[in-house]
Amino acid sequence: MSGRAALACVALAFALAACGERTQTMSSDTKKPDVPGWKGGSNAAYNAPGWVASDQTAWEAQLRARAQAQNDYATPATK
Amino acid sequence: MARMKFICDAERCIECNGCVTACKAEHDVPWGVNRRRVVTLNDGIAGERSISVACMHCSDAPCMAVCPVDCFYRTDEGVVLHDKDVCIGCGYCSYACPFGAPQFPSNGTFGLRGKMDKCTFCAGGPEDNGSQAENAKYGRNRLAEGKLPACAEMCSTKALLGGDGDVVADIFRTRVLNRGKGSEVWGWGTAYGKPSAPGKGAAPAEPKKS
Repeated sequence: MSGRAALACVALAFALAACGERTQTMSSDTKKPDVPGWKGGSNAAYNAPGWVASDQTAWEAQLRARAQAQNDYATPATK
Repeated sequence: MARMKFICDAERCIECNGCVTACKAEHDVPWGVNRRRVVTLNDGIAGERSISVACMHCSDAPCMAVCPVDCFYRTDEGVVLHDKDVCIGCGYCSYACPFGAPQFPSNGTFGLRGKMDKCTFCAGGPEDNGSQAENAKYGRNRLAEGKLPACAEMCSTKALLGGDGDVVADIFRTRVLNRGKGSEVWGWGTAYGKPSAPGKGAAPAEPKKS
């Protein structure tokens, strides 16, 4: 009887051994979250004029307008 | 917003390396690491063309696919970035990248091959935007300042365009149309040949019977 109990204990120990293992799966949970660019940087003094940090729409409009500086064929009003 | 993209206009690039210098200066990139470089085709032959190449921030990036420690991530704007705290400097991304974008410092703390460094589209890394830690590891975060990449903004001939993919594609298309060209300079026909052009994707002509 005691032999069976010992065997059961050993089997149980083996069965539960995997439960103590840490997961080795790579997942996005382990990654550091990145702050979106539209939230702005730590020093507003470096920000380009014309938009307000934390305003995503203003940030996107700012980048689109700034990209037009690369357009030779844009009218001066949109440059 | 569409995805952030670079386009280099080979008709305008004069191989001045201003983009390379701007990137180096803006991010204090170490000696031996070139996040951006200018490649010249048919160098020295009449009609040579140059293009500025860096990370293309692929929509389906092979570097992300092969990284064994999954250190890459993509921002909402489509910029492919990586976490240097997770990178082990194995170099798999370097073999996978068709543009040679991943760079490895050879004189760092980690011996002959340090942690990978590449173009960030001037968007820094996972550290706080504009923080000292971010600046030290990835360089300046210009996107968080409402600016576009330094290389594109510094280009004297405006050959290198950077920004919202829809906007830069539109700028490039306008240029090409103003040169008197049309859809023959981009798209499927250019890449694979037109059906009417023999030997460029068209069905082979039948041999003449004699």
